[in-house]
Amino acid sequence: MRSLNQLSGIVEAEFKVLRREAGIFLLIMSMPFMFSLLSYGVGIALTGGQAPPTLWFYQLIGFTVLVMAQVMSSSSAWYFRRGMMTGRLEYLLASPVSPLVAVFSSALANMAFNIAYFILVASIGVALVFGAQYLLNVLAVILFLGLALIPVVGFNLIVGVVTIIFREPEPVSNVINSIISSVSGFTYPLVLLPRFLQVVGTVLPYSHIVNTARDILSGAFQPASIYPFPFMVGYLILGVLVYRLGEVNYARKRGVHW
Amino acid sequence: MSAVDCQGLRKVFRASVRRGVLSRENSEILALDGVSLKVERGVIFSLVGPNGAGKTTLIKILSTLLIPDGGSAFVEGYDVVKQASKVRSIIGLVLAPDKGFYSRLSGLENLIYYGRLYGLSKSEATRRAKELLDLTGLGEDGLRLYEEYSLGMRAKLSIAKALINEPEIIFLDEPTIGIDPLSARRIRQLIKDLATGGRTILMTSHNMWEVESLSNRVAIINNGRIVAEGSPQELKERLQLTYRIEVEIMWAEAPDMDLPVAIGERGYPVVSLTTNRPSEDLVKLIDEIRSRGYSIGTVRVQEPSLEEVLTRVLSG
Repeated sequence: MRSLNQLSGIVEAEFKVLRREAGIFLLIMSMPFMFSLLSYGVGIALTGGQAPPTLWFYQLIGFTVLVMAQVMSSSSAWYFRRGMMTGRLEYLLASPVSPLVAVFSSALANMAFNIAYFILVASIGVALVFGAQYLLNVLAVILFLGLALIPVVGFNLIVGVVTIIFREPEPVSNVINSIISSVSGFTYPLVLLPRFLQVVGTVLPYSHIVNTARDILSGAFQPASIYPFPFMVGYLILGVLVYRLGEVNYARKRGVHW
Repeated sequence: MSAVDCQGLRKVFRASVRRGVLSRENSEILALDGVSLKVERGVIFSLVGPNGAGKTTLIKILSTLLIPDGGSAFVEGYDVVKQASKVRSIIGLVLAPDKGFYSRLSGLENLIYYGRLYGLSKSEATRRAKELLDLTGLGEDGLRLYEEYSLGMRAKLSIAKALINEPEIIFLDEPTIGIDPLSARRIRQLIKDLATGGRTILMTSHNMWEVESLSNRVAIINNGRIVAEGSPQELKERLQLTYRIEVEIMWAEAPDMDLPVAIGERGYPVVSLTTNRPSEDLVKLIDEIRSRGYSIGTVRVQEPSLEEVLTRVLSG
């Protein structure tokens, strides 16, 4: 009960902060439309108007998940950085809440924000490309994203520890984001990449998330496509282990003040 | 059992300074060098010393934020390293009076957030947060966003946060720094009330007057070591600091006495002497003045301040 109170308290606070920065929500919501329409426009120009709308949908979902992945890892880095700058992280570490519960809760708030963002963008895309009768698929994808983003929390824990060690969130999240963005096949199939990058892309959770989300939304979902996800829990375990090591060896040795 | 008991605490910070494109120079800073300290329950105990003396490091170790490199520390009998979670449940902490909150949340929302970190339900946390807003004098200002708060309001909210879990012991690191006199006065009163209510307060401050007026005991820390400890009065006595006595004589001319005489603010002669036995010497002086047939105007006894104690101790 105590952990549940702690978890819901943090989620609520983080969500309120996100809600009060609604302008960012509108900005990031416009980005997938902007980039997908741009690339679709190029496709139409190159094919003499032959590019089907499903290609736009492919790009739209790809850019949406790409933005989600970037927002989640950047937010995680900033959660630690802001916590260090504002002194919140010290108070958090001096309270009886497990830092893992704290980080997990903050990631949950972020996840909820991202899922809301995904629903809005995907609903527009599904309605325009497949028709309103496919909108129910958007509900199915919520459940899927809720589970699929859990490994990402593990990733974020690692980002958080690296931020504590190096104290600079931008280089950390930028490096991670650039790797994730290039090898996860958000807007192009992985087979276009060199072999070793395909392996990296397959090992990371994002290509599975984006492809399965596309399949669910377009009604082409095959249960077999979820088989990699149980393995992705490994990221959560790895994240927890790395976080614990970082907390003991860095955070509580050097302090987390700015 | 003492509220705080530390023995031989040692903490070294390792810093790395960039000396070129690729080279770095590592250095070590000895923040605490064998600090031993006992704080009894229900007292206000102050740590004073220059910047970088180790005060904040000591508070951070006691509040489990930092792991010491040597020695041991217990808070209410709990080991700060091995039983950190127990320690966290029973302490309240203020590290910087203007930090530690979500700027986009109101004071009330911030307090509820902290209440829930201590495992309170939403309704419990809300009730407690409102009580504390009233206690600290923030009241309705609790509904305003933290980013709109003045420094004084932020400091009060910090104290409220430190009390959200009804702690047995409260660590306050410079709780009135940079705060206007009225707000500082309110905070000092709060600190006094908390101690009167049976809570133990361990605080740091650079304001020696504040320390002297609040504290039951004081420890002077310098270069990571406790160099003196006692009640403010004990410290003054131990260092044999002198009192200055000034007696104004209601007479138009300077009296014929062996002591220094100057003309005071009201134009009358003032006889002054410095002593470390103020009561005896004051009686003697008054008797002598009276025996010469003079009448006495005002009498002023200037006590040595804690600042003098600190200056004397730190200058060796």
